[in-house]
Amino acid sequence: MTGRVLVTRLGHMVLVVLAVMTIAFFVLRLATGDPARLVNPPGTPENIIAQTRAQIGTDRSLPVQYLTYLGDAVRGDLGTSFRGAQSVGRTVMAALPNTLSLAGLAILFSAAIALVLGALAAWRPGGLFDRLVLGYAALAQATAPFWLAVMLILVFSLRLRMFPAIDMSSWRSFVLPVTTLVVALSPVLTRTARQSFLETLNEPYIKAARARGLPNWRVFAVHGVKSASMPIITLIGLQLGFLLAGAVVVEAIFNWPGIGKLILDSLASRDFPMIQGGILVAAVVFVVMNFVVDLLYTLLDPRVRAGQT
Amino acid sequence: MRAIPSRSSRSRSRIVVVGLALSLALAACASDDPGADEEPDPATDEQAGDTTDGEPAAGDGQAVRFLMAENFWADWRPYSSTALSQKRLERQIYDYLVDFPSGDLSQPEPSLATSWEQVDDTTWEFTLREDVVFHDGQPLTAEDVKASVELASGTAGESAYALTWAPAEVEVVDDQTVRITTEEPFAPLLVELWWTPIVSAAWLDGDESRLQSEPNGTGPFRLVSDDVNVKTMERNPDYWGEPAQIETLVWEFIQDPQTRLNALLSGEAHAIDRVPPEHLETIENEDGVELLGVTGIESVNLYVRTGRLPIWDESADFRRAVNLSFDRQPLVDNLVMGSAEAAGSFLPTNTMFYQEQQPPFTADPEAAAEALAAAGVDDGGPPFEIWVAEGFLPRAVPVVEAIVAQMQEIGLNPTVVTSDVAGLIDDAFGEDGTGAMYHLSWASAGDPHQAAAVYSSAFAWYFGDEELDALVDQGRTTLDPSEREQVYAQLQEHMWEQAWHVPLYNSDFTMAHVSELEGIIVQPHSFRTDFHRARLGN
Amino acid sequence: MSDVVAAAAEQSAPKSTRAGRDVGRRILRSPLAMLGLVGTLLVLAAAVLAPWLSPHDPTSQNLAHILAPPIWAEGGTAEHLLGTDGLGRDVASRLLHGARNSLFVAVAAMLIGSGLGLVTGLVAGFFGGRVEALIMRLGDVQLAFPFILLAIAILGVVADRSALHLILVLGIPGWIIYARVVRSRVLAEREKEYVQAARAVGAGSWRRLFRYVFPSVWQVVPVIALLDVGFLIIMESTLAFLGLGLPPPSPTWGGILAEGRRNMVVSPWLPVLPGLAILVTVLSINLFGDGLAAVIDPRLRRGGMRRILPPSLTAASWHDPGTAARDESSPAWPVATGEGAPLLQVRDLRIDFPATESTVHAVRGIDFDLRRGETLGVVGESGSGKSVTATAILQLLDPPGRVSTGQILLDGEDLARASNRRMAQLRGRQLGMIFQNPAASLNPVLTIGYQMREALRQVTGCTRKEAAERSHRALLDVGIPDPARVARQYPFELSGGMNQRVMIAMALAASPRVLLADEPTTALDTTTQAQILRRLVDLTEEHEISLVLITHDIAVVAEYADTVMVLYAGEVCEYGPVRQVVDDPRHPYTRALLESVPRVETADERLVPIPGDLPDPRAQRTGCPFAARCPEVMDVCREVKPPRFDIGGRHDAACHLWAPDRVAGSKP
Repeated sequence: MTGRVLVTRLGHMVLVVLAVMTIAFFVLRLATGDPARLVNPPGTPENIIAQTRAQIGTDRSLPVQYLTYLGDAVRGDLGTSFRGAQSVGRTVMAALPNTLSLAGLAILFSAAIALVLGALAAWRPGGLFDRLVLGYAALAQATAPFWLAVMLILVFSLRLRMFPAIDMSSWRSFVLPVTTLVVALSPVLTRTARQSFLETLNEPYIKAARARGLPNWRVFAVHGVKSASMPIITLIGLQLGFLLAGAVVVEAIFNWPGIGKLILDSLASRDFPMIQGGILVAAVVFVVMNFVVDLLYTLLDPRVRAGQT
Repeated sequence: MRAIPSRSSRSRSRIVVVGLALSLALAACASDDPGADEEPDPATDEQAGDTTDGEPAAGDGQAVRFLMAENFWADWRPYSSTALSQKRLERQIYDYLVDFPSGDLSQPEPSLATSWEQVDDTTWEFTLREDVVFHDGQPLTAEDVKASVELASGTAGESAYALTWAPAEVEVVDDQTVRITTEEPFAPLLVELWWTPIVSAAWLDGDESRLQSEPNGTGPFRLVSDDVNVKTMERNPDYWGEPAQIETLVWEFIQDPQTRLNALLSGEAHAIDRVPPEHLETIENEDGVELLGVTGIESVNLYVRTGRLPIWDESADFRRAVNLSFDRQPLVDNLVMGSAEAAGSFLPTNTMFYQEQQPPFTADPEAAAEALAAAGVDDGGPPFEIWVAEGFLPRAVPVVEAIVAQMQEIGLNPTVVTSDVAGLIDDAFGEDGTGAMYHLSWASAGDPHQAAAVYSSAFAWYFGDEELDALVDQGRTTLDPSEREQVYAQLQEHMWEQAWHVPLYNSDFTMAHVSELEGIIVQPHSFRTDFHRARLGN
Repeated sequence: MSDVVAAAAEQSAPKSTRAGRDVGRRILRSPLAMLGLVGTLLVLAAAVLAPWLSPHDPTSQNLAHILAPPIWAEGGTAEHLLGTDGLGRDVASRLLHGARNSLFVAVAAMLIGSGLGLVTGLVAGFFGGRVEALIMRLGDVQLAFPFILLAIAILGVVADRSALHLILVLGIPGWIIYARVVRSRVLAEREKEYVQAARAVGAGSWRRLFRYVFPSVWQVVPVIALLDVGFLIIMESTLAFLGLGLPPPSPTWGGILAEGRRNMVVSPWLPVLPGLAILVTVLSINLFGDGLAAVIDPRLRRGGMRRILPPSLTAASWHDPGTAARDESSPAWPVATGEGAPLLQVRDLRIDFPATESTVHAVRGIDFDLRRGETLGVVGESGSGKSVTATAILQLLDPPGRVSTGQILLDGEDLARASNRRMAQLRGRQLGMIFQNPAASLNPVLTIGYQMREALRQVTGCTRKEAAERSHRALLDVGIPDPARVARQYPFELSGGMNQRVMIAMALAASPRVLLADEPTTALDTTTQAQILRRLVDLTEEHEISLVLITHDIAVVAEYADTVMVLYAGEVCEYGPVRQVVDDPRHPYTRALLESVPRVETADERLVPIPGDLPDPRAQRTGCPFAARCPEVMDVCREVKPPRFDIGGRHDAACHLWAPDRVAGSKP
């Protein structure tokens, strides 16, 4: 990636984040009434509400609020929660690793499962295993993630007591939420892996490698996997959004202290700075991850590295 | 006054035992504590000076996790909200001048005040406990009480408590003595003081942001970590009474009842809040978990905003028709379940001077039709919205759905609008709200004034009914109990007749906890859960 | 919804009504797709007929009869087949109406998404320029952010939520998937002749867009839309689960599930039933969509790693009805054994590519020998079966190709019957191959050095260091001046000639006994061609490798080969020592080939084409395959397949002109 490409790319990322910030800000402001009233519980006297309004700054005009928000955000200040005095930046950054570890593990396992299942299915298309893999993909894709999470808790937490039902406390806590996300994410990846294996295996260089005397497993493991994993990496980049959405649901069900739960909880009390902060950080993570995916792609594919596509 | 019903005889007996223990808190000796025989209580005064950060002594280090159903509304500015979640948190951090551990509102017990006397109709004198220190190390003085009470009652600034308080002046007699004076006689003074946390004057006069983020009280716990949805407290080793047994107490907001139940059943939480009726049976059948509840403290109604549905404001017949359009009892029996009761008055059943009104509102299609005709309505009247919040009051949405279905049967034109709590609050109290009725609740501490004040001109549910307003005032200022009872009898009758709102039922409040967690108190007249004497047994 | 699905759908767009009918027929034949179709139709019927099918009003409550169990559980009644919910409403009726509402929301959202996507895609693709840039940038923003988060935020703060809100929030974000696919198809369609022609006759751009481009583009939408609906049903239920679904009392599956979850412990069937309804519906839709995609795009079913074993291993397939039985009159090509036997003997080799409709008979019974140290030139135009023969020797035929009959004897061992394992041992060590198109035959993501060392170490079992040295030498041998640098490079960084040299070096490095070189110099300039071929032939001689040189260029064969085999339409026309064949060609096809060679002296570089086409490779064949194009065709040529008549001196020709009885008479 040349310097120029890099600069353009970074510019794009900034624009995307800016667009997301803007949309989030105005959607939140325009869709509801007075946040100051929503911050205070029922029964709060009007003058206290007015006080709150001044305190959280919603008494100023929208453009002023927006520019203040942008200005503060540029300086790294995401503001203060409407509820209490918590710093949004600190709260969101504390939640971020929890979401990232969940999503990261889900991606890791999904990609591994997709590669293995996709490869085995592509080994003999139309065979029994291929049918089983496609069956799994179809079934998993048709399963609503939240439903699966509920059922997993019912069986493994409440009945068998094998894994915790909520929270992030030990490695066991990861099992059920990660499983839920993997089931949600792996079907698409598995199908892609299978298809890209099939396509790769039809490439002349695969036949050429076999003609050179390489055993099938080696052709498959070295030549096939390396080439076939590229579309999967691209797809993971595209699926990050889906994963984040899934994380919201999973975090809500498992009480996972991540960004998704933070946003949902903040919605309940119209804590706009917190929602905005959560969405902003999600967007930043998202564009950065996509950037990383592209870098990874570049590392794996020398053609892209040399600037050809 | 009603006795305190509870779900199981075992938990009832605990309430009584612990309640007694608390009433004797000053003199409490270790043998009164059911768990004290098994292990020595390490939290003695000798150790009180130790830092709590250090390694806890044997049998110590108990951490208890409590899952709340209500979000933590506001910051720590005292008296800025009437939110129950806030009051429940404050109960652990702050102390109050007086306490009513038995639930009997005629039996006040000393707390921060060791004694008091009513000087005249409008003046009370309190003697304060010595050697009480705030969490920041400053001693409690009369100045703190003055600052707290004057702010709470609305004399010294904005206060949400002013709704049920009367403006009070506090005179500092000496360091340990205060005199509280109200303009008019104020009958529920002691009960109000039971709800009014005593905050450090230095804090109240000091930095605003410190006041918002660092509560400084004298209570058995102090706040050590303050996240949006998780509040972590630690035992206050310098507590003037017997220190708490729990080392760390975590309050966490989890909106979903099923998630709360899952956490309790899988052993990840020690106690959960607001058990929905559908879970009662599960918990009863499960080993190692128990229910703990109080009844009839919360009045759940469809509250109506004036000006939103003109015919409501104008026609008592229309209001009567709506009130006669559906049955309360099946809602209670099949949906709310538990120990809820169909509303017999606009005051909650466990309120002092509660009187069941006659005739009760039931579904009476003929009478309703007559009332509609009398109101001059032939097409069922204009359409109106009934708002209900999901995930807060038990079974709220099905209840409203059931009511609406019955209303539609007699020709009324309601629609259900579901929202979250915040959206409902915004619509109800905002200027651009579209709803007419709101499914909400109002709890009282047992004194009728607290229950009735919300219908007076001091609050948004007021319909300009001056007679009602006068009765509320009268109830507040009448000191003689029997005269006061008469006032409230009149008030309840008047409200039932006018039916400015749609009374539904009095709900119970049920929490659940693991059996090892002993000694939680749900205060009978408020559901301020008290963890002071709670401990993890075996 | 993923891009992959979209991409699959894009490839699978039906091309015409005839193709559409074809697709319909193939769907009928795929049981899973059929299952999906039936399931989808059933759900659709339930949704449409819900008001008539439901035994009760889905919103009518009966508080005296709440949480009744379904009929199979204890206490269940036929009155409420699936029991009642927390308000005493009939679950079966609610599920039926739930299908109606869920499908309505999902389909309406899909229509909005696809409509928006179709329009933006059409506009972006057709008008290009700034409009396109703007639309695609918007799409980037859309893809660069999980809009579902924002959707949750919007639905969460909209107090008075309605079905419309839900549909918009679910539908709008989907546009980009459609827009991208439609745009790429418009780009392809825009340049087509008929669109250009319409422009020439003055049709306005909007008219061209809707009259000409739209009809051939919209067809990509349905498959995406189908899968999108499945996805949206899940999304709707997810939102309902989070409490952001349709307001009550309208039942949707997600709403029923969320409500049912509250009673999960007492009435476990309540959340299970709507969960299953969602599962079955989405599964049906996906199966149908997958089936559709797979049927339309057979690429998805082809290929795979496992070699399809030659059916000749089983006795039953010895006589494939598709191929003509061996002609009795052909001169026997007996299998030689013992000391002087040829290294490679191919006997009656037949290669088929079975397809559903008819089988392609690519090679129809050929015999030839390759002696030790010999260079055999195989000549023929494309489709003659020369490459297929080479890949069959290595047992690397692309599926569904297979050797249906015949023997491929390497030192007496029949490769057609060798196990996969044995073949893997033989490849590289005994048999080497140089493929045409070297750039495609080298893995683009691995360095030259890696690929060479990998093969060498595998074949010779040498150490990494030895392998590096040997590949260094091999690269030097083929005339690469800087092997160390080339070893570090990737195939795309090298010129075609260099890649070709690399391929040759790779094949030679392991010193196989037989090297099959398939058009090793295509697409190179003549000078380089000559250099490389010279080098190849020299090196094979040096290493005592027998070489099969496959080419369409008989001049190359004339220059470098010892023996030549001329193939036409899967059959041998002429076979013999190169000088004899070139100087005295006997088969009219060989003659035509020789005549088509550009002559340097006339400075005419163009090949002179032979008039006429190859015969249908699928057809049963009687007579001589070249009969249709033969200038000297006789009646017998159309009736009787000519055997390979011996000319003498290992030279034979499969032409009736050389039938012994004719030869005795006159000679043309």
